[in-house]
Amino acid sequence: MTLELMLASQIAILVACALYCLMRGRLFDVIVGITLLSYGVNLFLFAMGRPAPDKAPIVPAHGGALSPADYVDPLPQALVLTAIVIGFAMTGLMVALALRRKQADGDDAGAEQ
Amino acid sequence: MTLLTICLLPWCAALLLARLRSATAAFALAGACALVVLGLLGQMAQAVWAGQTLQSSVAWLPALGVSATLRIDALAWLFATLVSGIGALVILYARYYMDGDERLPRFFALLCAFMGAMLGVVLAGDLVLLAMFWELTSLASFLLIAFNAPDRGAVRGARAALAVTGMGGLALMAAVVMLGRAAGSFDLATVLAAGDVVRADPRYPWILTCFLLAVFSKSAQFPFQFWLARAMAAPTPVSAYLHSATLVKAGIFLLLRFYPVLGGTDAWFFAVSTAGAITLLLGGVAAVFQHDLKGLLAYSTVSHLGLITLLIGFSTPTAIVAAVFHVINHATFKASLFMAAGIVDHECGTRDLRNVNGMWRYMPLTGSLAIVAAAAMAGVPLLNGFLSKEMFFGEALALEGHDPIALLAPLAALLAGAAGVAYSARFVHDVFFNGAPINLPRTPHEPPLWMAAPVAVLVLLCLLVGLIPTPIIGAPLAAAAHAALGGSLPSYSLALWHGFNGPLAMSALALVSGVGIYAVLMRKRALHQRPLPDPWGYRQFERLLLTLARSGVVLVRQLRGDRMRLQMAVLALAAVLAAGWPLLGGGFEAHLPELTAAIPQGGIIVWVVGAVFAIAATSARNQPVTVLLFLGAVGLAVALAFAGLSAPDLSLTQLFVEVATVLLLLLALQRLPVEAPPVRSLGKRLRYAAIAVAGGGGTGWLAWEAMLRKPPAISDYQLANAVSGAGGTNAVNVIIVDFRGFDTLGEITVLAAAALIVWAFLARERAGVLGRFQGSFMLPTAVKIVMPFAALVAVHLYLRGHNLPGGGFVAGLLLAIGLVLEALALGSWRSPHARPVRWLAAGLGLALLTGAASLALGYPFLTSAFGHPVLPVLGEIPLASAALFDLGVLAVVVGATVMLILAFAFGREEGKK
Amino acid sequence: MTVGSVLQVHLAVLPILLPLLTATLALAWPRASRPISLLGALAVLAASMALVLQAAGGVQTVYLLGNWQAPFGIALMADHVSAWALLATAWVLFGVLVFSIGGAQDEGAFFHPLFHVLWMGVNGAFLTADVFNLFVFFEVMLVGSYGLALQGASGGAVGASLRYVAINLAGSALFLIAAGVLYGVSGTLSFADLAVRLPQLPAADRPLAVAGVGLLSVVFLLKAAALPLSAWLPQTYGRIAPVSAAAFTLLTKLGAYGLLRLMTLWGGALGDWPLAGIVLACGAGTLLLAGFGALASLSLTQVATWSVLSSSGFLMLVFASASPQAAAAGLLYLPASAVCASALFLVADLQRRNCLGASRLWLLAAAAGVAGLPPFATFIAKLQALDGVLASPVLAWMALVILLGGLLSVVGLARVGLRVSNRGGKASLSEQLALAWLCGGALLLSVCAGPAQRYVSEAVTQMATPDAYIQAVLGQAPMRSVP
Repeated sequence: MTLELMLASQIAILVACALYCLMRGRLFDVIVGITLLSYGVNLFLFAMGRPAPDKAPIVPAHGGALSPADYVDPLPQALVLTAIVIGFAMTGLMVALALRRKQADGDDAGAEQ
Repeated sequence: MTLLTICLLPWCAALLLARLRSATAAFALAGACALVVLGLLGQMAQAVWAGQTLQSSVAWLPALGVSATLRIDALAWLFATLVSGIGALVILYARYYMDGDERLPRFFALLCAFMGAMLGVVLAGDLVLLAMFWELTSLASFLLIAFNAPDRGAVRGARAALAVTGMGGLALMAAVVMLGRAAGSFDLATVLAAGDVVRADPRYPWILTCFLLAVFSKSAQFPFQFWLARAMAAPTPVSAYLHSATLVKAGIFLLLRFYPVLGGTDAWFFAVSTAGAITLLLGGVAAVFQHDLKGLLAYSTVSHLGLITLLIGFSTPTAIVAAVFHVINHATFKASLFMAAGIVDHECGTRDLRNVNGMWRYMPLTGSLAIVAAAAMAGVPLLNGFLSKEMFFGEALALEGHDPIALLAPLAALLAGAAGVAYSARFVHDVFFNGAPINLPRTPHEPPLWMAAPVAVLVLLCLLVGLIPTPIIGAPLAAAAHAALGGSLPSYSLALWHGFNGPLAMSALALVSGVGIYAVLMRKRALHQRPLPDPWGYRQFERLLLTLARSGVVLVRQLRGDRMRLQMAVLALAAVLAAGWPLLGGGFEAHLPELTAAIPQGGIIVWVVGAVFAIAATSARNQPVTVLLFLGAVGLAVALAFAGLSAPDLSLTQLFVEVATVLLLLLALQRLPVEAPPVRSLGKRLRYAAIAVAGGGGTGWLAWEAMLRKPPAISDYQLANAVSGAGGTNAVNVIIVDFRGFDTLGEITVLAAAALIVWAFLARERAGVLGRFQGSFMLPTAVKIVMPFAALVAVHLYLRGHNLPGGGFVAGLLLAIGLVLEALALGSWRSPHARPVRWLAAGLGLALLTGAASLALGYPFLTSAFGHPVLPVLGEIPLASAALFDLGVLAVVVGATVMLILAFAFGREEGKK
Repeated sequence: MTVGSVLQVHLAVLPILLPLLTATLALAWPRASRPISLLGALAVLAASMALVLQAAGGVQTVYLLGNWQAPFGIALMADHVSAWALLATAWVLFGVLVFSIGGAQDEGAFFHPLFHVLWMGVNGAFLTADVFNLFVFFEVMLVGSYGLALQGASGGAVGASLRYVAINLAGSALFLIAAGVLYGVSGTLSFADLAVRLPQLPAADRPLAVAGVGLLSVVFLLKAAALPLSAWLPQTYGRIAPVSAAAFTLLTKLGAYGLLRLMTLWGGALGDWPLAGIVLACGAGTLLLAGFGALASLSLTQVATWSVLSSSGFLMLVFASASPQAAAAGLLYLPASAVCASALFLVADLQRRNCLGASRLWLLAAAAGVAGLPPFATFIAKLQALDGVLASPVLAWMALVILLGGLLSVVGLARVGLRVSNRGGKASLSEQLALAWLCGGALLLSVCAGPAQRYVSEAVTQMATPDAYIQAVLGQAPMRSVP
C-alpha cells in the first residue's frame, strides 16, 4: 500500500459517499453530501501537490538557492485553503436555505417532488 | 433622399401617433403621411415610367456585404403607389368606421407602421433589407389582427397568421442568404442580373423551395390559405388594406421581382402554377359557400391570389403582364368591396349573409357602388376585372408544351371563372336583394358621406380602367411589366374588344354558368341551410400547434428541475463520461515513474477513521446529530491527513472550519427536524449506488493517475521567490496573500456575501435573545476567561502567518469562534464585539485599499512591498504590505463567521412565528 | 501622473474592483446605498465602454495582478471578446439596476452590495486568464446570484433557489476537480500557459489532460444549461423574482463564453476527442428544447426563461460550428439577446405588479428582440449565423435547427403575449427609461451594426489565433520601476 493509493482510495470513498447522499434527494442528505463532497474534493486538490510527510513549504528566511524537491508543492495547498473557506460559506448558505424552506412550507421532503 | 423620406416617413408618423390622444389629430397626421408619400411617388412617376431606376445607398453591414440600399423601378413604384394610395383611402375610411373609438390613434400608428414596412419591402434594394421589412410586415399584420385582442377570434387569427407568415419569414431569411451566396452579392440589382448563375447553382432547388415557402405563406397560397380567412377577425379597414390589397400582394411582388432570377425553370413552372391553380379553385369554391360576408371576400381574395400566382407560374411574358395588371385590378375592386362590406357590417351590426338581405332599400348608394365592384370581380365587361380575366383566359388557352397542364389549365380557368361569377352574384344578390333583412340588431341606413367616398373613388377607378384602359393605366403597367420581366416587353393589347375569340367565349360561358350555378344553389334559399365548408388547413394547423405545445409540456415535464436527484445523477454521469472516455480510451501502457512517498505515522489509522465514518454518515437510519458527529470525525481525519502530509496551514484551517461548521450545523439542527428517508426500490438504489461508485472511483482514479506524474510546476518559481520577491517564508501564505492574492480577494467577497445573505435571510426570525443558554453561570464565566486567550492566540497566529503556519484565515476563524461563544454566553446577538457587518465592510475596504495602494505608485493592483525594519527591543520585524491585506482577510473572516453562526443561533423557536 | 492616466493603466482591473468598492461602500453606508450603487454602476459602465474602445483600437490589454509575471501570478486579459462581454454585462445590469430602483425593488436587505458582487463576479469571470481564478469568480458570481434570487423570496422561490444552490455546489466541486487535474498534469493554471503545455505533454499524460478539459467543459455546459444539464435553469429563473432573473441573463452566456475560450485555446490538445461536436449537439438540442418550452409556456416569465435557454443554445451552436462568420454572429447575438431577454423579464415583472397595461409597447419590443425579429440586432445576428452555416454544406442542418427553434419561440411568444391584458396601470418613468435603455441597446446595435460587426469579426480572428493570446499573456513583462 503506497501513500498515493491511500489518498486516492480515500478520495474515492469520500466522493462516492457524497454522490450517494446527493442522489438520495432528501434535504438533509444533500447537506451531508455537499459536506462530504467538499472533503473529497479538497483532498483531491491537495493530492495534486504530491503530498509527502515532513516537507512543509516553509522556506529558509535568508537562504539562497533552494531545491523545490525538498518541499511539497505549496500551490495546491493555497488552492485548498481558498476552497475550504468558500465551502464553509456555501455550507452556511445551504443550511440557511434549508431552514427557511422548512419554515416556508414545513416540508423537508421538498427536494423530492 | 426622396426614397429615404418615403421609407422613413410612415415610421416617424407611427411613432408620433403612438403618443397622440386626439382622434382628429391622429387622422390628420396619418392621412398627411400617406398623401405626402403618394405625392413624392407621383413626382418620380415620369422618370420611373421611362425605365429609370432610382437608388440611394448607405453602407450598413460591410462584414456581410450588406448596405442599406433603397431602389425604385417601375414595378416597385407601382406597388408603392398601391400601398400609399389605398392606404390614404383606408385611413379616410377608418376615421369613420372606428368613429368614437379611443384606440384610433394606436390603430393609425399600426397602419402607418405597416405602410412603412410594406414600402420597405417594395423599395428595398438589398436582400437583407428586404427580409427585414418582410418580417416587419408580418409583425404589423399580427398586431393589426390582434387589435381586438381579448377577443377569441382575434387571438386565434393573429396566432395563425404569425405562425404561418413567421415561418415564411424564416424561410425567406434562408432563401435570401443562399441567394446572396449564389449570386455573390446581396445587392438586388446584382442579384437580378445574375439569374443564369443562380439557376445553375446546385443550391437552386433549396433556394426555390425556401423562397416559395415564404411567398406562398404570405400570399395565402395552398396549403397556407387558411390564415387569411382567420385574419378577417381584424377590423374591416385592415382587411381592406392588408388582407386584400397590399400585404398579401407582398408575396406576389416577390414572385414578380425574382421572376428574372428564379423563374423560367420547370421547377418554377410546376411548383408555382400548381399551387396557384389549386388555390384558385379551392378559394373560388369555398367563397361561394361562406355565410360570413368577409369570409366570402377572404376566400375570393385567396382565389384571385391563386389566379395571379398561376399566371406567374405560366412564365410567359404576356402572362406576367396579365399578372401585373390583375394585381392592380384586384386591389381596386377588392378593397372597395371590403369597404362596402364594412359599411354593411357597421350599419347592420352583423355581416351574416343569412341575416343581411335586401339592403338595397336602405342604402342604394353603397349598393350601387358595391354592385359595380362585384361585377368587376366577376369579370363583367366594361370593368377592369374583365380585361385582366380575358388575358388570363387567353394565357390558359395559349399554354403549350406541358401536356396535361395545357389541357387542364383552360378547364380550371373556366371553372374558377364560373365560381368567381357565382360568389360575386351571391354577394350582390344576398346582401342587397333576396328578401328582407332578418333579425338585425339595428336599422341600417346610408353611411356618412366620407365613409362611402373611398369606395366611390376605387369604383370609379374600376370603371375608368375598364372603359379606357390605355390612357389610365397603360404607361405604368407597361413600365412595371417591363421591370418585372427584366427584358423586352411582349406585344399585348389593352383594348376592350378583340373580336370574337376563345377568351371572349370563355368569359361569356363563365358568366352564364356562374349565374346559373348560383341560381341553382340558392333556390329556396337552400344555400343558407348549408353548413360551412370544412376550413381545410386551419383544423390541421390548430391540431399541429396543439400537438407541439403538448409535446413541449411533456418534454418540459420530463426535464422538470424539481427532481434534484435526477439532476445530480445526470451531472455525475456527464462528468464520469467526460473523464472516463479519454481515460479508458487510452494510452496508459507507457511506463510511468513510481513516485512513492513514505506513509506518515498513524496514516493507516487516519485512513480507516475517514473511510469508516464517511460510509457510516451515508446511512440514512442514523439520527441527524449522529451523522453530524460522523462528519466531524471525517473532517478531523482530513485535518490530520493534512497535518501529516506537510500542510500545517491547511490542517489548522480545516480544524477551525470544522469547529465552526459543526457549531453552525448543531445550532441549525435544533430547528431542522429531519424526516424519515423516502423508501426506494432496491433497483433504484442500486442504480444510484452504481453512479456514485463510478463517480467516486473515477475521481480516485484521476487522483491516482495525476499523483504518479510530476510535471515542472509554476510553484517552483513561487517557492524560489517567496522570500526574495514577497518577503515571506511560508510559501502557502505568500501565495495566498501575494501571488494569488486576487483569488483571496474574491474568496473573502464570497464569504462576506454568503454571510450577508444568511444574515438577511434569517433576519426576519432573529428574535434577539436566545433563551437556551441564559441563566447558565458556567458558560459566561468560562468565556470571560477564554476570550482574551483566544484573542491573543489569534493575534499571534496572524502575525506569524507570513512566515510560519497561521495567517489571517486561521486567526479570523479563531477570533470569530471566540466571539460567537461570547455572544452565546451573553445570550444576545448584540454582543459588544459582534458588529459583524462593520467587520465585513472594514475588512473588504482594507483589503481593497491595501491592494490599491500600489496603484498610486504605478504598479498593478495587489503589488506588495515589504521590508524588515529593526526596531529597538523587538528586534527585526518582518513587515509586508501583504500583511495588511491579510488583516483585511482576518476582519472579513471574523465578521462573516460570526454572522453565519449567530444567524442560526438566535432564531425564533419553532411554532412562534 | 494624472488620475486619468492611472485609470487607463489599470483599466482592465477596474471592472472588477469598482463593483467591489461599490459593494463595500454600500455596505458601510446603507443609507446612501442608492446613490453609491448608481454612481458605481455608471463607473463600471464607463470602464467597460472604455475597454471596448481600447480593444477596438487593437490593444489586447494584459494586466498582471501583484506585478507577477504570468503564469506565476494571476493575469487578466481584456481582449476583444472579454471587453465585449463586459460591455454587454454592464448594459444589462445597469438597466436592471435602474429598473429596480425605479420600482423600489431594491429595498431588500443588502440588495445593492449583493448586486455589485454579482457584477464583480461576472466581470471577473470574463476577464480572468487563470483557471482557478475563474473558479473563484464563478463563486463570486454565484453567491451574488443567490443573494438576488433570495430577495424577498418565499415558498416556491426558496425551494427553487435551494436546488439552484445545490446543483451549483456540485458544479463547483466538479470545477475544482477539473482545475486540479489540469494543474496536476501540467503544473500550471494560466490559460495561456496551459495552451502551451497541454499540446507538449507526453502521450501517456494526454488522456489525463483531456479528462481535465472534459470535466471543465462539463462545468461550462452546466453553466450554459446545455441540454442534458438544463433542468436547473427553467425551474430557477421561472420562480424567482423576475427582476432578479433579469439580472441573470448573462450568467448562462458565461458558460458559452467558457466553452469558446476552451475550444479556441486548448482545442489543439484534445486530439480526436470531439468536444466541438458534443457542444454542437448540446447546443442544437438546447435550442430546440427551448423552442418547445416556449411553446408550452403559460406566462411571460416562463417564456422569458426559455428564451434565455434558447440564446444559450444558439451561442453554443454557433461557437462550436467552426464557421468564423457564425461565431461572429454569436458574438453579435450575445449582448442583443441578453438585453432583450432582460427586458422581457422586466416586462414580466411589470405584469406581475399590474403595471403593464399602458406600457405594452415594451412587451412588443422585448418580445420582438427575443424572437429575433427586426429591427433588433438579434435579427441581424441570426441572419449572419445563417449566412455562416449555409456556406458549408456540412453545417447546413444547423440552419434548420436555428430556424425551427426561432419559429417555435416566435409562436410561443405570440401565444403568451396575446394573453396579456390591456388593463392595468403604467410603469414609472425610471422603469420605462430602463426598458428603453435595454431595448434601445439592441436597436442601437443593429443601427451601428457595421462597426459592431467589424469588431466581432476582429474578435473572431483574434480567437482563431490563440498564439497572439498566449504571447500577449506570457510575454507581458512586469513593471520594473515607476513609469
